[in-house]
Amino acid sequence: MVLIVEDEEPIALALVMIVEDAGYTAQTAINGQAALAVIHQHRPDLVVTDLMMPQLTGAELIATLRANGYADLPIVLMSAVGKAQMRDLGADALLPKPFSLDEVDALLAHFLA
Amino acid sequence: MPKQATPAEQLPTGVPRLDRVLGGGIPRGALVVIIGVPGSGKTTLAAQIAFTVAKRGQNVLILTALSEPTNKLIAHIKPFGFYEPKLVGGAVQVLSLLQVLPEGLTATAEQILAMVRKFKTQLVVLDGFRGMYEGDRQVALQARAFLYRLGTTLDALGVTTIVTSEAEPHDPTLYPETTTADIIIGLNYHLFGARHRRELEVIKVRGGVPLSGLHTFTISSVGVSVFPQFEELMIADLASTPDAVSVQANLTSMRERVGFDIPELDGLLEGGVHRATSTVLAGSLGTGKTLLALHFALAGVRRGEPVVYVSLREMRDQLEMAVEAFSIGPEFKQALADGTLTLLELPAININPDIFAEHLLATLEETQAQRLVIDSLAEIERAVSRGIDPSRLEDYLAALLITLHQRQITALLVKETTKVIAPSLDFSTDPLAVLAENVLLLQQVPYHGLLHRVISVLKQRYSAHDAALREFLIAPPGGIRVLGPFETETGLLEGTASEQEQQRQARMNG
Repeated sequence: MVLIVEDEEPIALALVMIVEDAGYTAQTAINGQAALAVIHQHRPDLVVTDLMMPQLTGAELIATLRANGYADLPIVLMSAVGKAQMRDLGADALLPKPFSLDEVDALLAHFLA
Repeated sequence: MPKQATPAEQLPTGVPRLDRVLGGGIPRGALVVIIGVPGSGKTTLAAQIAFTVAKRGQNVLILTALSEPTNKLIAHIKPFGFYEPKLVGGAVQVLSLLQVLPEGLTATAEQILAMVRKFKTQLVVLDGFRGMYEGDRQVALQARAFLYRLGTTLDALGVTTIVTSEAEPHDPTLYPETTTADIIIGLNYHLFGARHRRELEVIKVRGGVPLSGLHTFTISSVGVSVFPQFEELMIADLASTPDAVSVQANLTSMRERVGFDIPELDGLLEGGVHRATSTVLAGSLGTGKTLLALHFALAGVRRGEPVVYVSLREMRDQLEMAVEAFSIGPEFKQALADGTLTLLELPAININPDIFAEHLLATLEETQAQRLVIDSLAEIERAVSRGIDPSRLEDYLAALLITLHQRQITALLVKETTKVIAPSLDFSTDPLAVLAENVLLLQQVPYHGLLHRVISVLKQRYSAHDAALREFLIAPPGGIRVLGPFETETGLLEGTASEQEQQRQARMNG
């Protein structure tokens, strides 16, 4: 299962469609706080998270997860930041915004195949 | 979330010159809104883009809302050249939203997204969007949310969306469309005198630089064609020309002289006009302007220069008849036959200045012309002055002359004058004569009961010229022959000069 953490619903919806079309299941959370609850309950195979969100940001979500037993959970950061900053934040891969279908497919294949 | 598209992500519209007006096509994933009154061509334009995309191997979904049923929409676009029947039902899916609309906009959006997934669509056309919310402010708010959600989701999926909406392009109640769209194209369609006029304007392009102003468009059997406003196009092209290259090339070119192969006239011009300059050939009816223009054109042909002759008054047979009695007659026929002289026959009926400019530039490009004759530019001036914005005239003419100069074309622009103006030599208020580098004047002067033709160089920029008045004859076999200073009875030229000087003094004295 892929957890999509994104506060903009139309973008989350698009990602769900791409993930489902690739043959995986998807769930969504509208911020980092909501994402933590889903992760604790369902332990997703991959987390794709936006960086800037209300309540708990993407950076705070990653930091919380890495400090609380989720060091190996693959996390993709959706953002316009550079790769170095992405690594500093503790993410495993970067999905630049705006993204293309091919980029999302490549990440799904890399982490879930 | 509009995309910062790279050139590779631009979607070509397939509508001639629309990509140029938009500043490079439609960015993939953009939400495009086409707004216009009934009959303005919204559906035709959207369908033409849709079939272009489908012909490039991408899948398209055309959805009709409440504008017309799908069978009517297909019947409507079938006669156009862009329509490809074998694509319909395959790469082009035409479906109706009529069944799902009563379930609300959220259900409609879900249905559209389901169809996009099913058909692996890259372009969605939603035809007749306004019909989905018209008249209800609350529904209009929902419509805005619908369009935002749908457009954003489709953008994230890399799917481009075109929405057509029925209204005046600047209708302030169109806020659901105008606030959400990445690109807004307005189509104007109105009566102008006894004629219909169609104009396209790009109201908004997020992150792009479109050509501003109103641009002519036509709907013919091939579909929609756009003709950019000439001045705007010229400014944009000028901005993209590297200065250093064009300045050096033009300077080299302008040092050459371009003659008429009429020795006395070339002598008055110190060898001819400078290359890459424009010359106004002014004169009243019957003074021999067309014949002199043909001399100029054929002088170019003799030097191996590709020449374009734009005739707005006389057709080919009439021009051939005009030179038949002279030695240049067979030369004219031969030049037309071997293609060294290209005759562009454009009857002076219902001329649109932007369509004219497009045809002219395409012909100059195709022939790589070095000389150009427009006979006469008065027809084009009339067309601009009769247009929706007569104040364009000076800008239009300036754009024309700069464009010709940038292409290093030496132009002869024929222009009629009234007999009242001609002897007074007053061209100070004529924008063409002010803008052009050179002005030649042909006059008919009465002397001892006969009309005599007289030529003079009123202006030649960048070099000296002989300001003398010279009589000229039109006679076989040579055609035009300008007489030498001692071949004319002195009384004729002195009388003309004296009369003109008196009129000039009278004007100066108020």
